[in-house]
Amino acid sequence: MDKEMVENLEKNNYLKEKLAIIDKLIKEQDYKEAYFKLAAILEYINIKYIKHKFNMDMPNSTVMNIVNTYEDKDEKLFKEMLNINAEYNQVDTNDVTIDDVEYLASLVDSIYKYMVESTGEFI
Amino acid sequence: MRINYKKINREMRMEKTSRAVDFFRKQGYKFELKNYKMLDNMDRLNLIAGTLERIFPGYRIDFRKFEEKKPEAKQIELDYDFDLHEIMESAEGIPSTEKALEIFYSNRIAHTCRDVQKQMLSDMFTEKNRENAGYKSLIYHFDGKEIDQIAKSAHRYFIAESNMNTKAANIAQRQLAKNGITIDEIEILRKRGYDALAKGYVDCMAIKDEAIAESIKILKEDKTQSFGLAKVKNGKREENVFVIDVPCFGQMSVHIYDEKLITLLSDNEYRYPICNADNVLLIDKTSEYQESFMLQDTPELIESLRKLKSRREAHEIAVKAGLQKDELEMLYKTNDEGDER
Repeated sequence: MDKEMVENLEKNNYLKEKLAIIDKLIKEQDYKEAYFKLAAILEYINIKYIKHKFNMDMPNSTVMNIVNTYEDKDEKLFKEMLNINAEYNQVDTNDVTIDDVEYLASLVDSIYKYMVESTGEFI
Repeated sequence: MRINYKKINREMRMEKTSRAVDFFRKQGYKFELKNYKMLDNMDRLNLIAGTLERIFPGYRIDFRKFEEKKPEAKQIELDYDFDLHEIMESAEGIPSTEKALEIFYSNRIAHTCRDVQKQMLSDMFTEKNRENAGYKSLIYHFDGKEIDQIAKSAHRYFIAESNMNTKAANIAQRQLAKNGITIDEIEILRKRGYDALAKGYVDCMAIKDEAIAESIKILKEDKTQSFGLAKVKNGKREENVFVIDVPCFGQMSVHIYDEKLITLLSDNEYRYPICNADNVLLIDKTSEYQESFMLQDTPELIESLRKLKSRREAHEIAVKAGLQKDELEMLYKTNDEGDER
């Protein structure tokens, strides 16, 4: 995966390790697994961010619960997570492509960048 | 005079496209989550019904075509003046049924948006190919799978752009460029309303997934209705499907993708047959054949249904007859003779 695509995630050592695994999966053309791992990173950064910024626990972190949490708190993240929900609905999980993985990676990276700019490092 | 069917079909397609675009440009805001949540259940269902009537009026024809494949007595007939509001009204006051209709029909609107987007792409490629007829290297030739992928990328471009996410918009644009789609062509799509449909798709999928989560809560508390997660095999593919048996209406099923939603259903595996995933309507109408069973009282009905060869058919009738979870369990229970369904 193009380093530029995940330049912000790469700045965090913990996430960098996770990205290395995703990179390996992409090289092996296991796009489905790479996609699910990216989705897990996104869920993780949302849970961490919500706890850090709003001091809220997310025991049930469905995408729509995350959307609802941002609804009155952060318009940008609200819209980005709505987009993520649609993205999960439009991707064929039996036939995940490199385009699907790269687009999700760019979303996760830009969401993470926005979070760090808003609150400082939180992971 | 010869009838030009190609021209008629093209005009019908264009009308469908412009109806959907016109609706989402002017009234798409009604589906934005914040506005939508302010409506009560019936207002939501009436908005959904009105929208489908507007953007997908061909559902009656599709439903009849679907039913015509069955033997006559088993066909469900639609009244000449049938409209979706009647269906929504008949669910009023039954929270799980209201949610099931909300899930099923909001999903239908989202898919209609996507179908229209794909049609818009096909029309544009046809026009471009006509313009470039003399230049073989400029001719677009995409199969269905490629059109799906381009439709996704174009959707991504417009949504990322409206969220002012330059990085994601650039990635989507690069994906389109890989298929030869130029910035000028992206602008053509914008002028024709692709962006409004993309927004409609995002909003309706959010409504669907929110309604799924709400219905899981209702159904888990209620405990009288059968529902759950089914893993459906489609050739080599395995798909996750959320199913609710909606008494008197039928079986509601939609695909689900959010891994967390799927986890929420881990204790609710759906074990019964999937009946009518291809149908376009979830309605409380019945066929003559189904009616003939419904005249029986419950124990008699269960016995008759157990005798049917097709589990799918038996299940469909049982749900239409309004049987609840424990009664459905009786239908599938091994009887004294060890005859397991």
